[in-house]
Amino acid sequence: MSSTENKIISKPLNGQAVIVADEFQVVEPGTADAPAAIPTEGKVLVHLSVWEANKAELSTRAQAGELGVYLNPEDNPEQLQGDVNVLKLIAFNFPVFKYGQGYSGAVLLRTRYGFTGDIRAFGDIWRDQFFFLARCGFTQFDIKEGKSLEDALNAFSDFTIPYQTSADGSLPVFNRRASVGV
Amino acid sequence: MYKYDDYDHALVRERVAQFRNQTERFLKGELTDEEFRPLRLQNGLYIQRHAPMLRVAIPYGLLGAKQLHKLADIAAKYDRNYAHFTTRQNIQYNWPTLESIPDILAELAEVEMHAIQTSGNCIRNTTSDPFAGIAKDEFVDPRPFCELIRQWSTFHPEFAHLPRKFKIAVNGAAVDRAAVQVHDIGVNLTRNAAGEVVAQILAGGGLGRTPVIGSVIKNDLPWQELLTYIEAVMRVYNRYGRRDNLYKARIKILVRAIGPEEFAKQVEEEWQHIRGGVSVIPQKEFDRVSSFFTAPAYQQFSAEEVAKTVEHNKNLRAQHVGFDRWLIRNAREHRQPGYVAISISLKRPGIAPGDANTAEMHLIADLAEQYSFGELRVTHEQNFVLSDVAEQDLFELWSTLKNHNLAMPNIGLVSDMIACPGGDFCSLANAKSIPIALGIQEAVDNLDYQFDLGDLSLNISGCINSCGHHHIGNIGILGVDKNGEEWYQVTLGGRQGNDASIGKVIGKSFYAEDVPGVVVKLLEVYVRDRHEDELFIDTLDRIGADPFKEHVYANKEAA
Repeated sequence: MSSTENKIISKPLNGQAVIVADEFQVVEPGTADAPAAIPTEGKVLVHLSVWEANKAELSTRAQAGELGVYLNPEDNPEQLQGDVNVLKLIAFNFPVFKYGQGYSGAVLLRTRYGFTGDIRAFGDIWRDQFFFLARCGFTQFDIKEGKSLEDALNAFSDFTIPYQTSADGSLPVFNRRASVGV
Repeated sequence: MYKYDDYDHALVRERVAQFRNQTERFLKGELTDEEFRPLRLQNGLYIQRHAPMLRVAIPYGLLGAKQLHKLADIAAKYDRNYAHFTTRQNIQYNWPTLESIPDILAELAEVEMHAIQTSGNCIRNTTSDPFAGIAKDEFVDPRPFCELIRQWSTFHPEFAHLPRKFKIAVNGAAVDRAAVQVHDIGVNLTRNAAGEVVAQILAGGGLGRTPVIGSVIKNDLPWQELLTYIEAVMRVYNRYGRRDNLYKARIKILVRAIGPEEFAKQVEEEWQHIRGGVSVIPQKEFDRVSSFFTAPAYQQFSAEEVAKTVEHNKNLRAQHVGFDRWLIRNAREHRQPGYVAISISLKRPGIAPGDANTAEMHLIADLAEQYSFGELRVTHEQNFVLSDVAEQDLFELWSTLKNHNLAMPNIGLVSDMIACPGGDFCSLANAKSIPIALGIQEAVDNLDYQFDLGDLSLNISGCINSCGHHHIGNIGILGVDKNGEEWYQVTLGGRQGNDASIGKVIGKSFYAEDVPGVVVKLLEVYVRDRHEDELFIDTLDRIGADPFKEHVYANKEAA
């Protein structure tokens, strides 16, 4: 199996899924006494708390698409409501796949806060979550170590017409039924 | 009943392909046990003591004869010629092989069935009133709403990784036969003064480790907004429900922690953003779905004909005490003159509660075709209902059932007990349920005695997950593990329905072999102290649990 390092799946909303090179590095926030140093070069994903504390100096990099903000499951995406026009990339960390708050978080970013940049999932996620993640508005998928990215490209076509609406903009199936006059 | 269109068919077919692929990857070692686990669970597949267990959804308990034939065929082809009907109106196979599961799913898809979301931390099969559409006390037929919820919740991308499992029950009648008060979401459908259908929403009910009666969080919700409102509840739960502790992850814990008023407020705030949106149920879709739940082509009987049939049956009842008893316990009044609903009890002496074998399933399916317009319901009490039987056919039906050990006249009696599969099959269980159920059945075997005792619910769970709903049995029995030994805790005073309540533990637990004797002692107190026409639960309410405890624990040092 090829290494997934530096590669992710990118799938724009309603677009094609492709494997792309990726240079973003996750920077852990460190502790209150010893906050982690943010690398001054290269693409970084910083935690929400780091962003909040250093917004002024990080904004330019964020706007340039060099810096993204990530949330842990317990973080509230509402806090980024005012930053949706600055940020180009917001990521959700899934330390364990079953921590599913990020699905709702992405839906809120897309449907309520009007975020149009990329939303990335990383952590304990693999092919079998990607269809659902994509429907909730995720556009980037950093697969867990050891899983095939090539195989995961197939996940997005697991289902053709879902029943319900979500952040991917698809309408409930009953709208389709109505439109064909069923 | 609901018929799939192309969209429904495509989705279920795609699911079969998806799960086949997941199973293959697991068997090839591309998915670890831990990774495969949530995937198989969301498809109702458990790894059990002896073999995988597959739970198949019977949406809101409604089953066509053709589907039951298929379920029987699957039991013969992939299992050991029998299956278990569950307290959530589903069916379980205990002996299929893992490799065969995708093929079973493909066969199920042929008859518009699946195992989607029958387990795992997602929205489970919606349950409802087994007498929907025929009950006289019904305000609103819950079935179209159940189907709309089924579709909306199927593969809902946002709610597939909830903190814990999530169960929705829908009731539309004066008497609650769907146990809405002990569900994560309970929906009571009714009509407002203007005659419009509105819903009352309860949240945070449930059994399990922490039994809770649900709280009303919304009244007078217009039916069109049912899905948007449920979505709001789900979103608040998905964001704020606990995930750090498996035992505190159900919505009831969240509702209790912040209080029902605060929870309702948060849901209301969330709902304000999505109400009136694209998920509002269009009238056209409601009409389309409702069109599948119309009354069958009943024969129209005149009052005179009905009276004549009743008279005829009366003579037969006088001649056949078994027929008489069966009608007393297993027949239920119907809206349509000349018709009744008939329960087929799956609580037979010597047979695990809720089990039916291949031949029985085929027979019941045939009888449904012959006598009930090809439709059946599965109840949460683990029995079948033939919903539309003409009274003139009753004796014939009874005779056939009797010849096949399916005419047990015990609906609602003590031997109609609810029981989970327990430690004989389930790897979660602390203790066995089936031998306990069979032991009690044997101890109360005499039908005269059972008839004299009257309505009484006895529910058995093999562990605190409470699949046997022991909390809401008048008598509840719970298997517990004490230093590797199987013990049984007894509760009194639980009940389901409009006055749902949670039973209370009577004292120290018992050894398995003592449980039937304990039940008999509880019944003795009732018989001794009851007033005329008083049910077991009424006597208990009047005299309290103490006389029962005294009698059970007299001269006995239980551990």
